[in-house]
Order: sequence, then structure tokens, then C-alpha cells
Amino acid sequence: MNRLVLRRNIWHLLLIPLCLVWIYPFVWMVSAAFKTPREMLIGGLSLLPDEATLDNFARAWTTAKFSTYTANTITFSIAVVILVLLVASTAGYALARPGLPGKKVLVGVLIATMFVPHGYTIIPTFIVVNGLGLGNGLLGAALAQAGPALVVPVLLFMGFFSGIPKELEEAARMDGAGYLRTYWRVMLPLAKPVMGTVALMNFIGAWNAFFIPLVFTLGNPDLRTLGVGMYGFYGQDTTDWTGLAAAACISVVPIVVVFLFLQRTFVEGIAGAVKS
Amino acid sequence: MKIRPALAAFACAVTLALSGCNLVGGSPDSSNATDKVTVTVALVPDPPGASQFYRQQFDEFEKANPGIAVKVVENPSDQQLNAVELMFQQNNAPDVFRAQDDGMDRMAARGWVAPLDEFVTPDFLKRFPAGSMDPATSGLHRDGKLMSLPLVWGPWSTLRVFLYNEDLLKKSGYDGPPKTWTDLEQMATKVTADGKGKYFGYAPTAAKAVGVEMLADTAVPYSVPATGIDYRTGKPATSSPGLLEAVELHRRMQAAKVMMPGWESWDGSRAFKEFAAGRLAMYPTPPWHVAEVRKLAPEIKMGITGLPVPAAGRGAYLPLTKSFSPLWSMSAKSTHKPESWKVMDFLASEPFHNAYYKKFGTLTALEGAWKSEAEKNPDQAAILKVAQETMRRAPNPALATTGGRAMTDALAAKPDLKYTDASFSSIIKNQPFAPAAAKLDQDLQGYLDKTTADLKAKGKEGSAKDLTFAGWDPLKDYTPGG
Amino acid sequence: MTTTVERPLEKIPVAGTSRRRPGRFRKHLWSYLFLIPMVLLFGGFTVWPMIASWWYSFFNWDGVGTPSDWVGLANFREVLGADSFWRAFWHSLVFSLAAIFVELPLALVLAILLNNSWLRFRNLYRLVLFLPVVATTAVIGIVIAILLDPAGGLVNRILLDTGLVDQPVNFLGSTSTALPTLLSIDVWKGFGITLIYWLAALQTVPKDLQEAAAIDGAGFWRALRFVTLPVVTPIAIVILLLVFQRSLNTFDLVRAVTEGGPDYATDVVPTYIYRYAFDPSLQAPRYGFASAAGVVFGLLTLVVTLLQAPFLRRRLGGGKA
Repeated sequence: MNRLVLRRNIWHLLLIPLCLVWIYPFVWMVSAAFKTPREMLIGGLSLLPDEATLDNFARAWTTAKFSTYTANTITFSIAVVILVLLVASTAGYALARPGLPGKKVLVGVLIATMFVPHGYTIIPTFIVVNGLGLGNGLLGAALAQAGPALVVPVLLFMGFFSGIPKELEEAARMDGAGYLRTYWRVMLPLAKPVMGTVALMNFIGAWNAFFIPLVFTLGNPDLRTLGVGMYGFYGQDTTDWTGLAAAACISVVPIVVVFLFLQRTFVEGIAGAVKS
Repeated sequence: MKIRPALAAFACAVTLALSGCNLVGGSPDSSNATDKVTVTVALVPDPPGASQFYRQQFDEFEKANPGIAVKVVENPSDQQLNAVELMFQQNNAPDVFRAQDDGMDRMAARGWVAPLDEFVTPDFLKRFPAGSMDPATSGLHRDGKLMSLPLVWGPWSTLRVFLYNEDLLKKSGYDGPPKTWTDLEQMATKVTADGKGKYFGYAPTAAKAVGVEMLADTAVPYSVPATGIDYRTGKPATSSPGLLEAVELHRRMQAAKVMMPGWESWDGSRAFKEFAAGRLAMYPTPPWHVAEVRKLAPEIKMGITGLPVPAAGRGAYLPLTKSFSPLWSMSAKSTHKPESWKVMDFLASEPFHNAYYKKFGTLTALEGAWKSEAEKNPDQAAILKVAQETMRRAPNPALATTGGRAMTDALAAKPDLKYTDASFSSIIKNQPFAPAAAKLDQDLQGYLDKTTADLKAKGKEGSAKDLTFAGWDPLKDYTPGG
Repeated sequence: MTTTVERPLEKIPVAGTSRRRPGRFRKHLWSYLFLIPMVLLFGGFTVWPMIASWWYSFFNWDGVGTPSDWVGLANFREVLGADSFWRAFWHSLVFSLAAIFVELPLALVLAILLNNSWLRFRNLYRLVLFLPVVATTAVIGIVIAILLDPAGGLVNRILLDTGLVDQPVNFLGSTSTALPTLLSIDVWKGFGITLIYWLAALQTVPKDLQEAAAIDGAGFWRALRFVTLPVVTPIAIVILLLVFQRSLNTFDLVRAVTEGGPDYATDVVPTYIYRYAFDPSLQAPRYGFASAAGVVFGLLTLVVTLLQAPFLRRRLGGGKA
């Protein structure tokens, strides 16, 4: 047994140095948030600030309008995540049904669109949302953000659901559960790892989104999100780097919280479900 | 799984409650139901910190004009034009907006810019330096109509200065800055050698070797590096000896490892950091770097002087092609034009310009607002002196004729015919620039001919003639028609 | 255990009804209902804008108002004839090769390691590997520039001190090193996402099997080969596509670190398109041309993907039947 413990602990010798190197630039970013602009730009390479300052955070709070923008960002991100989870899981479930006519065409179209660069489709998207009268609200922005983000989640859910042993579903059906009930009570709970992943990725994407929240709140800048607010640090020629670093630190915190929260779903897996 | 949907729903409900009806959105200004007129100003929070500055200024404006509320819409610099264009398409246009330089023409071409002549009074014009608001040369007029108001000092956009670190030059035994390109090469070589990797003699300011163009402007008419055309002849002139030598100078210094390594990937605001850190001894730059260096290194012994000229003597002065650069415009679709004008009038007032100067150290369009203070500030006084000594008025085809604008627009749409990429490539690959320049001239001539033919086919004006100012001497002030 | 085993059982009742079409559709009525939200959202916000941009690509258009200056295939001819486009395309392809052949397998190895419940601190390791993903790209750009600076940057100092190089390496400034450097940063920044995807995929492997495999050293490789990999395969294909797609769309990082330079050595198609569609220094954006470049890029990558298809199908095995 001792040898086993030893063998397992050897991995730490590999992982610890790797992680230290890995996190170094990130730590640098955090430390820059506490430095004066002068020290960050022309000071040495030291990670510890000579004279730590909280000015940057104060500036970040006002410049990026964190007080108003944070609520918007949360609303926007959660709306996007819910939209994507609901729409992608239903679609993925449907597409995982064996022998569904038209499935190949749909999946083909989904995959094909993955390769079209999206940045420049913003103008037609804007025209659609404007036509729907959603031009100045976060819902329009959330729809526009969720639409193109669907492909991968749909494929992930499809891959996952088609990998679930069929006897599980048969058992549910014999218990008298219908299509909807099977999906909601049996299949969806099994899909936790995928849901966690999809939620996390779309949360990050929405949290940092720039183009869509900018373009869809033109008439109502009070509805903008942090991703847009961050650009308050850029001027035409110069950038307030330490302020930006502070803002980056603040805006990373919620994502880390969400990550730690969703961690569980990566750990639990479906082992228990298969046995029962 | 049993907890999470509930939790998510709860969180969602809370945030929805927090942000009210933000999800669906509504009309932008339903809350302002008073008798106040709301003027929307779309601006860029530039430089950093400008957000609060503009808000403060507009608060004061609102106090002085109780009937008007100013609503600010900020956009990132990069996206300002796109954002304002989309606002127009959404029928949600701002009343006043920032559209700089060519950006103003882009908006005007769409018919979205209101001429300001009906509001302008002689008293208003008196705020600007004498003669600077002449429709032919102001830079703010199109077809004789005033389309925009400026923010910064006229020479600010085309002025270039040469910065040097007196201490570092002294260490290598030099008492003053280089006067000629030959001096520059020798001094930079010595300083870099003495620096032993701790500091370096010279860098061409930013990626793409933008320093080449700055130096070349002292040797050949400004139009040669800017567009490839010599405005004295209307012919492609990338092969002009002055431009060739400016490139070759940099190529030699690059090959000899004189220039600070890594400049190939510098962004536009890197050079002043290296200079402030005492790691770069000399470089040519637009004047805004001066204030940035001072911010980072208040004690540094920074010399500010004119650019070094070719050993054979100066071939041209830096160009002053217009009095001002456009910046503030009024929307043609505004329903509150008189109130919008009040806001613009405020943005072009002496108190505003003085406050802007004080806050950011930028020299603004109204010289009276800062001149006496600037002359007491050594850095700014030096900039004013360089402008006085090294800038001359130069012809501007875009302002001279409609055909001239069509031709310069066409040239601007073909950036790959500019010398820039080819010269950068020959500097870093250590290849002679002359063959590449000859090829560019040939392509440029072909493009000029094609553009002329295209314009003619569409019944529009524009030919090489519109790019020709035969009487122009780049060593003298140019007067249109003279 | 795997889906292939169950399929035949499932197929028997289906075979009986599949001849009569109405019945077949009624059987799938719910499935179609379930697809409606996706079709609406996806159709409105992805497919339609895409078709619209195909339409725009036939115009000389600046993005405002209704396109009217029809130029036929001129934009396409210009894209296909532009060396700069092909150079950018090649760089994009290199980005995806690095992602597929370096990032993807490495992330799988670490995911398998970090999926073991006996490994202490594994949550911490995951968090650390994940953090670069959420670090603001613009800030990372300047941090990287400072760390890699050839004149006194930390990395060069270490390389010089340890004697690995005798001259500072101009990582971002030299045309020969800029692309590899950027590729490494891209792998670093995107690694966490791929890792998370692999971890999620590994959750589909029943836990008791993983445990058994981990305890019995000899069984580990067999379990990996015969249990883990087959179960993971359907999702692995999606992950592969995902990583491929993400790497093709590398944009922020290039803009923040090199802006495509030096001498376009790191120019990729998204930055190329951006220059024509949105660059603020352009007098009039060439939106039609940018659309054409996007369409060509999409078609080319589709072709590249289809070339991989036989390989994918083989890998997929019975999974898709």
C-alpha cells in the first residue's frame, strides 16, 4: 500500500512546477492591479508591489461603472446560460433519439456553421433583433449571444444522451413516464457533467462578451455589461493598464466562484445512476 | 440537481428584480418626463479618465442651462464610428457625436452631419486664431459649409518631435541631440554600444517602423510617404532618394543591432515607457508622448527638439495641411438643433478648453485657453518651439477640389500600395528597398490610371491633376491659389 | 455498457413501424417539438445572418443602408487572388493544428490524471489550469510583452542565465519566432477549456470501472483502451470539432499581442477580416469584401473538415450507427 501512495504522490512533483509556471502570468496580472502605473510600466519584474495601492480598484469601480454594470452582467449571463441550457438540452435530447428523420441534415447544418467566422455577422444579427423590437434590452442581447453559442452545447448533449444506456430509458417508460417526464426527471439529471460544462463556458462567454452587449444597448448605455465597461480604460492612444488589471481581477472573481460551484458536477459523474 | 434549478431560479429572480425590466428594455428616456430637452452626446472616453471629466463638465453646463439635460453615450474608441452608425440606423441617433478626421467624412457622406453655419456668429469665430476658420483651409468645412468643431490644436496631429535622454547622451560624450541623419546613426551606434544591453540608442517608435515616415518628412514632400505621390508632380514617387535613404538608414541600424530589440512588435504607446524607464535614448514621436513620459518619470532629463534632417540639408518641412482636425459634429437628424448647438458651443468654449488642457495636458484648438500657461511649462514650450520652427503650410488635395478628395479617398483605400509594409519588410529582412519601391511606383501608377478611368466612367471628377500643385515648394509656406 | 450493444434491441420495434411514414412522424412528434426552440434561435441568429452575409459578399458595400453596388464575383476573385489572405489562412490552419495535435492530447492526459479521486488537491490543480481562460486577454497581452521582452524580460533573463541561449530571443519581434510564441500562448490560454471538456467527457465513464482500473496498474491501460476511450468517443468527436473551431477563430489574442505582425507573420483570417470590416482607420469599411473573405474561409475549413471525415467516421465506429 505504501508503494501505491508513493507512486500516487509522485504526480505532484510534475503537477506543482507545471502549475507554478502556468499561473505566473495570471499572478502577474493580479499584482499589477496593486501597483502604481509607474511601477507597472517601467518598474522591475518583481511580483510584489513596492508600495501597494488600492487606487486602481477605486478607479475600476467608477470607470467601469461596476455598481450598475455588475447587475446587468449577472442578468445577461444568467439569461444566456438558461437559454442555452434549455434549448440545447431539449434539442440534444431530440437529436439523440435513434432513427429521427432529418437528423443527419440538421447535425450537418450545425457542424457546417461552426466553421463560419461569426464576428462579422453582427450587422444582420442587429437587423433581426431590431426587427423584433428587442434592440434596447438585455433579452435581445441574450438571444443574440445564445444563438451562435448553441452548436457545441447541442452536440455535447447529443453525444451525451446517445451514450446513455437505453435500458435506463426503457425502465422509465415502463414506469409510465412520458417523453417530457423522461427527459426532465431521468435524462436531464444524468446530464449534470455536460450541463455544468455548458453552463460554465457560456457563463464565461457571456460575462466577457463585448460586441453584442455593446451593439444591443446603444440607445441605453445603462444596460451595458462589464465586458463593455472594461473598454473605458482604453483611450485612443494610451491605456490605463493598472486600472484595467484591477477591473480584470474584479471581474474574474464571480467566474471563479461559478467554477468552484460547478466543480461538483465534474466530480460526481453518472456511476450511481447506471447501477440503479 | 434538486437544489440547483431552484437556486438558479432564485438567483435569476433576484437579479431580475435588481435590474428591473432591463431584460426587455423599453424606450431609452421614459424617466425624463419633465419639460427639459435632452441632448444626447456620443463620445469616446479618451484619454483614460475622460469619463468623469466630461460628466463634470456637462454637469456645469446643465447648471448654466437649466432647460437642457445632457445624456452621454460612451463608446470604446475602436467602435465609436460603427456604434454611431448603428444608432443612426436604429433611428436613435445622438444629437452631437465625436467623429474624428476621416470619420467625419464617413458620417457626412451618409448625410448624417448637419452644417453648423446657421448657428455660427462672428463672435464665435473670434475664439479661434485669426484666419484659421477660412473655409478653404480650416479642415472643418466641406463644400464651403462648416461641418465640425475641433478639440485639439491644429498642428498637434501632424507635428513630430525628437525626444532624447540628456543623461544617456552625456554618458557617451554627446552634449546635444543629433542634427542630421548621419549624426543620428553615429550617436545611436555609440550609445547602444555603451549601454551594453542595459539601454539602447534608438528605436523607430513602433511596429512597422513608423519612425521612417517621420524622418522622411524632413527630406521629401509629406505626400510621398503618406500616399506615395509627390504633390509637386502628381506622380508616384516612392523611389524618391530621400525616402529610400530614410529606409536604408533604418536597415543599416537594424543590421548592426543598434536599435532597441523587440521594437518590431511594439504598440503605439510602448516607446514612451521604454524612454521613461531610461532604456531608450532617442526616438521621433508625435507630441503626445511628451506628457506620458513626464507622468511616468517626472525627473527625467528629457530633451525635446526638431527631427534630424538629411546630411545634405533639409528637403521639406513637416506639413500643416489644415487648421484643425474635425471632431465634434451635429446630427442632421437631431430634433433639438438649437439646444445641441448650445452643447457644441460649450465644447468649443474657452473654459472647457482650459479645463481639458489642465486635466490632460493636451494643447487644444483654442490657443487663448492655454497659451500663457503652456509657455511657462518647459515641455510644452519646447513643443511650441519645434512646431514654429519645423512646420509649414502644405497643399491638401482633399480640401482643394472634389476630384482631389475622390483621389485621396481612393489612395487611402489601398494601404498596400503605401511604402510602409515593403519598407518594414526590407528593414527586418535586410534587403535593399529600391527594387520594392520601384515596383510600388509602377503599381501605384496603374492604380491611379484605373481610378481616373473609373471615376470618369461614373461621370465623377478626379485625376492626377487634382494631386498636382506645381508651384509648391515644400521648404516654404503654401497658400492655396498662390 | 457501450451503446453499440443496446442498439439492436432498440431497433426491433422501430423496424416494424418505419415503413408507414405518418406513424413514424407521430412517433417522433415530441422530438420535433423539442427541436423547435433550437431551430428558431439558431435559424434566426446564426443561419440567417450567415445567409445574409453570403448575399452581402456580392456587393461593394460599406455596411450601412441597403447594399446596391452589385459586383458579382469580384470580391471572391480578389480574396482568392490575395497572397495576404492565403498567408492568413495558413496561419489559422497552423493554429488549429497546434490545438488538435498538442493541446487536445495534453489536455486529455491531464484530465485523466485530474479525474482520479485519489489525487489530492486536484480541485486546486484544475482551478490553476483553468485560470488563464478567464484572464482578460488585453491584460495578458501586455503581461506577455513584458515577460518576453528581449531587452531585460524575465524569460530571456532566465534563458541567458541558464546558458540555454547566448543572445536574447526576440520572441514577438522576429518573423521566425512570433508565430510559435503566439501558438504557445494560445495553447496556454485555451488549455483550461479543453481540460474541462475532457473532464466532463470522462464523467460518462461509470465510476466503478475507473476505480478498478486505477487500482490495478496493469488494468489501467486496458481499461483506458477498452472502456474509457470507447465510451468517451462520441463526445470526443465534439470536443475535437470544438477545439478545431475555437483555434480557427483565434482573434483577441492576436490583436492583443502582435496585431498580426511583425510583417504579417501572425496574421490570421479573423484579424484579416476585421481589418476590412471594422478597422476604424478605414475611410469606408469594405463590408462586402470582408463577407466574401468570411465565406471563402468557411468553405475552405469545411473542406478541410470533410477531408478528416473518413477518419472521424472510423473513430466514431458504432457510436453513430
